[in-house]
Amino acid sequence: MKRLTTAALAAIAFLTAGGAAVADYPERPVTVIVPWSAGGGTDATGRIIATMLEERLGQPFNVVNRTGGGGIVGHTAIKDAEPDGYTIGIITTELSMYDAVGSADLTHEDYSLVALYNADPSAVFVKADSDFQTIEDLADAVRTDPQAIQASGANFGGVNHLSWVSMVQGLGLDGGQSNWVPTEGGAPALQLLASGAIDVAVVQFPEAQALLEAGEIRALATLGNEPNPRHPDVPPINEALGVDFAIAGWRGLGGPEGMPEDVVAALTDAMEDILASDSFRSQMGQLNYGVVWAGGADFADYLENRAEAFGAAISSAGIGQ
Amino acid sequence: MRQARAADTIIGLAFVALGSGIIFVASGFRTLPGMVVGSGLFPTVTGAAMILFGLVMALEAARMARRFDPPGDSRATHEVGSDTPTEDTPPLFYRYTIAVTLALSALIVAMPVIGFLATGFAFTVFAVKLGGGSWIGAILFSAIAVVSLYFVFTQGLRVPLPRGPF
Amino acid sequence: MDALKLAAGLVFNVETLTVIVVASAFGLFVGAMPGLTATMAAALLVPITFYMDPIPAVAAIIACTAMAITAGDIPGALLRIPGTPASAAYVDDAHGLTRHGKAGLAIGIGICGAAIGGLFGFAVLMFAAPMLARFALNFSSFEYFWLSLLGLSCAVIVSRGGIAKGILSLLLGLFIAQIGLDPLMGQPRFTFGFSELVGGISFIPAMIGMFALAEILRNGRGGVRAERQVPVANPFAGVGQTLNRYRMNLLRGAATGSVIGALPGVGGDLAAWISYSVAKRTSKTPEKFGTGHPEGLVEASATNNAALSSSWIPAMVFGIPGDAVTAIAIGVLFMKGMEPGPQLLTANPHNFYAVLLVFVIANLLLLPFGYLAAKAARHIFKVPKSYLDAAILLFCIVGSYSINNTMFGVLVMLVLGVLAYILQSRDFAIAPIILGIVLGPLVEQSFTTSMTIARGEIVGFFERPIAATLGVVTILTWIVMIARTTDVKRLLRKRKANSG
Repeated sequence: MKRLTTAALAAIAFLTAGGAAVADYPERPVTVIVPWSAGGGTDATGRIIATMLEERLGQPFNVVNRTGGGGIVGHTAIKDAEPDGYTIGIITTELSMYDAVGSADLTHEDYSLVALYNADPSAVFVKADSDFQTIEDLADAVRTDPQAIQASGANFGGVNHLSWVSMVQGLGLDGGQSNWVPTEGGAPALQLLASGAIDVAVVQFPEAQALLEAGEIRALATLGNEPNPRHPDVPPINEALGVDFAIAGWRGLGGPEGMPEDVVAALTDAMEDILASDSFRSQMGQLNYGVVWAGGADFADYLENRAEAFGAAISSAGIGQ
Repeated sequence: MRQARAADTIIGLAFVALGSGIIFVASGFRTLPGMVVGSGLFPTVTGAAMILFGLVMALEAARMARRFDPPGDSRATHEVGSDTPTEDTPPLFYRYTIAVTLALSALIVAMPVIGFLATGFAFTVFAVKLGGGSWIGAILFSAIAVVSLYFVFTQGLRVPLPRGPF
Repeated sequence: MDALKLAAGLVFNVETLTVIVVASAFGLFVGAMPGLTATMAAALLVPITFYMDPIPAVAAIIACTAMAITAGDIPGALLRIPGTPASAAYVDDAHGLTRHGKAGLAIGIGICGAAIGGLFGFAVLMFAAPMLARFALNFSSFEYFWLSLLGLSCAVIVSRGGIAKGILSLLLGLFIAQIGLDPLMGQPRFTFGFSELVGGISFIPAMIGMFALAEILRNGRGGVRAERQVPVANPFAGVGQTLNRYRMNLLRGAATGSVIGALPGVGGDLAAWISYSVAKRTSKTPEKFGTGHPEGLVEASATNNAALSSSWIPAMVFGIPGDAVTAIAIGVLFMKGMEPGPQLLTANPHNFYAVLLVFVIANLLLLPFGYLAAKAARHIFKVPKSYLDAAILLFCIVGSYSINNTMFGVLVMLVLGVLAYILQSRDFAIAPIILGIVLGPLVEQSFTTSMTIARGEIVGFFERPIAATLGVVTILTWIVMIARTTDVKRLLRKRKANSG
């Protein structure tokens, strides 16, 4: 009992000493908010990042899942945190969309941007026994009657939906004519595809990997400008159809706006070191996530670009406000 | 007995009111372009069913009250071994329930400001005293419980409980 | 056979076995803490698995979650705080046994039923994994819609206190589940501008409030005060006898769990509810259910762990995770180069068998660990009530806080706890509210998805064979249920007489 109290007092003294000084950031444990639940890609990559930051900066980086509301809750929590560098978070694709969709008053300008570490385009999948052998077959069918092709991949207005809308738009049609079946995420959409209830699934490669290898589904095209390194034979969409694409899911590290510059710099340096390391690349590679680096100002430019591309797709789909 | 029937009627009517409220709010949800089903459909179905069964319940209770006979069927069975309150239990809002509810409300407000250790300690002492414990026991027990929980959660399980200004 | 030998070599070595035991102990600890979940235990283990070999890494996740989920039944039995939505189905029976001074029996049944169910699930995994996985792939949103609707009906069937109150409880749960951002359309519903509400109401604080806090409020009220006896010295005494007496339930429960558990997304949560209501419908003494009767407890706890085992089928064969726990495990599999997919069974069968062996060991470990936990649990009731209640309240607070690290969770716990307390005093069942919260989103989303595919034609819900079968079963269940209650009929007669 006595020892416990002493320990408590010692801990209180230790925690108080943390204070506001930033000279030797970090001086106490850092909370890393992940706006998505455990089990998803953001959580998995976020935990890798947190572990590696911990190794480099010598203080615990505690991952905290603040889930719900399509990421709004977690992103808001990061934005509203004390900008002292002791609460940071993983920010994701949805941040490029909230404002255009009108679901939340959040943009990348509300954050101190540390670094982009991942970006992955979606891909188009069909069932193994589908009549569509190539992406051209599918494109022809969509041109004939966009309503006849039922596509799914996640929620209405999500990144996969916008990718599909952008593709339909790229074919010279009105993006709003596409037929999107909303589901809660990639997994249920793949389930729908495998059960034969829909024609097309637009999801990312890691989610579809196992079904692909099981021969249940086929990949027709990558919705990006370069082939996926693990699937070099799946043509990128600009090669196959000449449609240029700027929509991709991304993940980065950020904190509330107004973090001290030296703290942001310390984190950006650590992130640069992490992204250059073999262990990070091999872990991301195992999980099939692409590693993309953009630090500080580059990250801001990148997000500026995304905001425009997403905004265009959203207004074309008629979901904006 | 009569009180119980009245309570059922009130709860039934409360459900009718809740159902109506749900339908009213849900009527404001927009349907997205090209969609057959909108966000408001399911809440509307839920609300309508609440109104229906709330009415059934309220009318049933009122009818029973008029007849003034105890409903034998569904109640006789589960009074055995179950501590579901029966007609002779004390009133719903007892000193203990009110005190616990108020203490929890106070804790929700205070914890983000002054931290888990202080609030948790004060709350636990209060709860033990409320249950009839001694002062010394309450203080010792609360200190041990709160401090050890704090360390297990923050260090072991990495749940950052509110630190407070300390 | 070579593969099996190779697998045994991978598992039966000091490193792997140590990892399994340590991870199990950790799982037991986390699971037994009210409010902490298996998901949390698994997520905490992930960074540690970075530094392990593939098999120990996967073994850690499997052993830890299996133990955490089963250990969740312990606070359920002792304090009426169910650990998972599945265990909410039988928490009243488990806690009922405790109130009759049979806490040892309640925990014993939970542990042994879980171990047997888990081993049954293992056998299914071993022989039928590819087949069951293929079967599960046939389920589209239409099948999910009917299945989840059937699950909701089960909640009403098992609830005491009359059909109107059962349905109202369920509707309340469905409404609570609608609060927050509509996951399909991105539209905020019933949030009234509060950003915390946009995230919705998670079921963990709801469950803690509605079961644990309501129970404390009720006990503190005086009135019918349950006698808390010190359980017998041997926690497993009488368990064998009970299990033998209800062996048919045990088998049926395990089989139900294996099949329903293989469906990604619903499996675990739904299976225990369906088998509990089946047990009640086929029982000779249905009136005893919910008061501390072991029959439903035996069947549902076997189902629970069998479903847990077979929920790995779609995860391992097709990489479709059913819940957060299997999603985390898939991530670990990927990271360790053991990519889920049929090649896990064909190209690298030793890895698959190794995973199966871990299942067996984890399920066998349930017995000694559960025994120790049950023995330790006796001491809980030596603590004076005022201290015990204070400690439970403290756990309620910390548990509902840690689900999303906000005070909002504690607020949800308080509000729903008081609400449940009031409703319960009028014989409303609490379990259907929880099931409504858990299954509500699935019913709604599968309905919306199906309506979009069928373009608004209701016929579409009966066009696929499995969907049509499930649909007919569901509708028949409702007809039987309504026909059995005379309340509505009597009421209508009365109204007619009044108006006429």
